[in-house]
Amino acid sequence: MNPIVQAENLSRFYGLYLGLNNVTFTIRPGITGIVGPNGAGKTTLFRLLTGQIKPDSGTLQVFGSAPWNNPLVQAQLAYCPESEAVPVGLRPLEWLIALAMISGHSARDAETQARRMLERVKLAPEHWKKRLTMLSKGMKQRVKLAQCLLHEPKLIVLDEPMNGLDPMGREDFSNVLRQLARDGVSIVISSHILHDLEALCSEFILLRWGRMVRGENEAASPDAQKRWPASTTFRCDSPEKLARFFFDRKLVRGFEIAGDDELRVHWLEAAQFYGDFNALLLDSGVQIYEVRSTASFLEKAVGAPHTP
Amino acid sequence: MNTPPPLPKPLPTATPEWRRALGGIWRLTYRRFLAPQQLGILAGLLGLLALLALSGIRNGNAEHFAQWSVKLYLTFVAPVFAFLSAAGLIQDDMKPATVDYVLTRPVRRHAFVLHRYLTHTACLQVQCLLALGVLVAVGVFRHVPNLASTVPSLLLAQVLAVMAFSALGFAFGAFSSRYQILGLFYAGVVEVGIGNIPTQLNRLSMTHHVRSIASNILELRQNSLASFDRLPASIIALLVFSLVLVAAAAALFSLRETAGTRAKDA
Repeated sequence: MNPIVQAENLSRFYGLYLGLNNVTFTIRPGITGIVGPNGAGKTTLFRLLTGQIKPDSGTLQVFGSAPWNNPLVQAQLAYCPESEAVPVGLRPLEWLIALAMISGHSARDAETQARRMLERVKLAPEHWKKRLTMLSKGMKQRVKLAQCLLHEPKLIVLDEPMNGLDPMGREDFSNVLRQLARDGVSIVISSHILHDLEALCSEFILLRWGRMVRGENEAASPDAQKRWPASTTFRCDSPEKLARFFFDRKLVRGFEIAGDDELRVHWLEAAQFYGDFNALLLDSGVQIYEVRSTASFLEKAVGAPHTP
Repeated sequence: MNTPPPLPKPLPTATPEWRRALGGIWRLTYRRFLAPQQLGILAGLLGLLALLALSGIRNGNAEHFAQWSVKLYLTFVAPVFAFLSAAGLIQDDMKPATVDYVLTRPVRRHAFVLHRYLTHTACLQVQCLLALGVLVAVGVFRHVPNLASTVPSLLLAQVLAVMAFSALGFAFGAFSSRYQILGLFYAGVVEVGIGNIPTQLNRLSMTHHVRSIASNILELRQNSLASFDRLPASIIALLVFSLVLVAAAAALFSLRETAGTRAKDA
């Protein structure tokens, strides 16, 4: 697949401070995760992608053109910033109509489009006419996503969009993004919630201290691209018994027993376990103390030492 | 590192439509003025103006009313209000918060500044119209004679003053976040200093032209045609000042990146 974004030796500094340092990457169509700790350069990368700041050196092309102050590129992308700031005094519907008009819709089309997008992100109509500043964090995130969709962009850049969402909200949000991806929209997303990101994204760019941790885009495992973690860690009274139980039911690809009470299971088909995990754990007859997702490749990659 | 595959040809995109963008920015701007906090501030300022006018304007004295309106309101209150409001707005627009949603849309930055200026100035004109209404109401209360014939001159001067000082606010706000200091410096050097020197240089002062417009029309009302020829010149001067300052603001805004993009945002 041809890339939609191509960066070569891209650098951006803020005086003496480092933003991005000599990174080269491509972003292909689909959902791409940008991962890294705070200060890694994620927001700098997003500001470069959306044409709000200029690179100090290197080249950046989005849809074949430099994005800085370029309306032709900006017409094809949308940005959802991390900041919770929303205009004071405006209501979601009014705000979206105004933004849709700036994107080129007529007033009538803008209203139709604003309503459609608010429905698409599942914001209940009773909230459409409340002031934006009165909405909960999760509702604001939905409105922020809706403003991205107004002009039907080809690339959506989302900076920590899942902040403040409860698990159900994150699942709803992820489903909207999956649907967008199925409709041919590319998405670049950052999040500190790595499991969600791993379940959502097909590729990753790992950043730390303004540099790419890996030289190439990381691809998520096929399991990780689904919604369930590929591996799970159990703390229980009898790891061997639990392992035998899963093995007999052909659920596991492999397992490790660590210490007296810990079992790490690598699923053959994670959905089979998670689809009925309450009943399975009860049937096992093993006393379970804790169930957690084993650190994913993404968590390991983020926590790995820097290898430039 | 593998050589990345070639990029596809740029996709055809919709050309931004300036009238629709203006409509969208108008909606964003006027709603800002209708926020409860803004309305509260406006009500407070109008009340303060009414109190000042009531204490400053004597009963039944048209000349005193005109002088007070020109010297205090038109050459101080309205310009300072317009300057601070416009500079604050453009500064907000350079911070990466709510403006991110606008500046990542297909509208050129200079067009955004122009649209913002037009819509913001229109809203300010409405607010200043209310202030002028307060002044007129105080005039009626103080039984100022021939009040109706004074109002058009004040209105014209006010419209031009708001245009010019909003443009100044845009230019200074786009130039620096310390626009208040720049404004004080400008006021001291140009408006108070150069503007009061009795030479051609005082034409660089915008309040000089505002005073000139208001005074000329007041003089015309009194059948004195001596300074009629200066009236169009002052109007044109203020329009030119506004145009140049908005162009400067647009250029600065287009060249500058959004403020606040520091390392901590990385």
